[in-house]
Amino acid sequence: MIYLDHAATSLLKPTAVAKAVYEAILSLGNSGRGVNDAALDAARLIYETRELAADFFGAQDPAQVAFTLNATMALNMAIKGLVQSGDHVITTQLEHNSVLRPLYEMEERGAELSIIPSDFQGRLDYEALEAAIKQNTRLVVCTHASNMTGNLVDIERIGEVCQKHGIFFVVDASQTAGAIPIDMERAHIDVVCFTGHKGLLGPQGTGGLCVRPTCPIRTFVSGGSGIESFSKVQPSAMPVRLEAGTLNAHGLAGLRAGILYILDTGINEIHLQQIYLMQRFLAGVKILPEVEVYGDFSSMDRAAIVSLNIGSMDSAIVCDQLQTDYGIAVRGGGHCAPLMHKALGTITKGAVRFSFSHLNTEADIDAAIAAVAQIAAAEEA
Amino acid sequence: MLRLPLWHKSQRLRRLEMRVKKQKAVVLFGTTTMAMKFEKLAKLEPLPGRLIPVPAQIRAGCGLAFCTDCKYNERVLSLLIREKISYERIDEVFL
Repeated sequence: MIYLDHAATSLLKPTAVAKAVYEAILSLGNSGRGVNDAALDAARLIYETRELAADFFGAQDPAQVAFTLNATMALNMAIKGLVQSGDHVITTQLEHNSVLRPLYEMEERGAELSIIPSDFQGRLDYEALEAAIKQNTRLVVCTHASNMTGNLVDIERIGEVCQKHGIFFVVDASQTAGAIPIDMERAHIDVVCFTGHKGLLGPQGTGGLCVRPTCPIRTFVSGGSGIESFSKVQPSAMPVRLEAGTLNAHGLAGLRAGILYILDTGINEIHLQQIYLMQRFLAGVKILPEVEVYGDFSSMDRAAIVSLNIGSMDSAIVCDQLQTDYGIAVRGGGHCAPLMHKALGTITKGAVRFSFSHLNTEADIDAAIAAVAQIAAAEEA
Repeated sequence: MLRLPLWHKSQRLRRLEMRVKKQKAVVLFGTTTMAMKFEKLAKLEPLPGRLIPVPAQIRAGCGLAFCTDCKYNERVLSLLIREKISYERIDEVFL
């Protein structure tokens, strides 16, 4: 199988990640639950992973990093923990449902919501974003890159606006963490929400949020904390304010190995290789008749994603054909980004998304181009 | 059933007999994360000591504490301050 669905989950993982999970599952106890050697080993590993994640996203202290199951959980915690009735929130048309649905839920509970539009290529209107700010604007939440087009959002520009107006800024780094550097300080970000199983090359079931110390996110889940057993409330100190119950130490061992691999390989080298492969694919398919590519490719400062459609074909059918006839794994249909589909005009047929890892090969790309060309030729005929 | 060699039992008993209570400095932390941070930095110093369960005579419940000889009190305090590690308190107890 040629796997080109890394925006969904990275399948080509460094061996060290699998090895770390294997070793952890056979040796680690429960972090913070008791002080036996196995429990301490788990706590040490989790602490080291916090340190790595904090450094990776420019957080000043490992205690600012709370681990979650995925980015969706992190985004829910950030949005529902910061917004209340009467608050105004700004987001964008590029968002995934992991941002939109918690926001719609808060809207039902009395929050106001403004959604900043994008154009037909999925480019954000930054001036509209600043113009949307009101007296009661509490939060701006946006993705760092669209999961459909791969277009990058200028988070430094938005962060500056948020800082100027004293508004909290939450970034969904699902499509960029591990491929494009993110610095909370430089971009004035209050919360970075990340998943472990995509660009960070870790296992599914890992993720988290880096929270600026001045950002008062309320407790989302309460329960066992490993401290203050006889208190009726969840401790207020970070990270335990946002972490209840047993952490996924086995998964975090893999996430740690993934981040170490990225640091060792170089995040810029990884991104350059991804973009090289993406460009090779783009050059091969955009010249084909019947193929329509979505997104803004004027800058290579983007996520390595190419979404397309072939003639009037249903993207789900193209996707199925790519898998069954060519052994190429991609994603078709809707991409949990309903407003982006609306902007691109792909609500009915969806889109076929190709997303690339630096571990893909030129042969993978050439095979994918040939497959798209054949399907397009058959459609044309 | 796991059969332990005879010497194992006698060594364990000898160790228990040898354990004499001494006054120790015990640092209490608000989170496991801070305890782990302190343990890591103490090891780098190096500052002798180890993580123990919080003794009930200090506080009922759970959690980790760093236990060291009282003679290192000042070094413990300076490490906590220098590295901005939030802690609850330092107690001296017989352990």
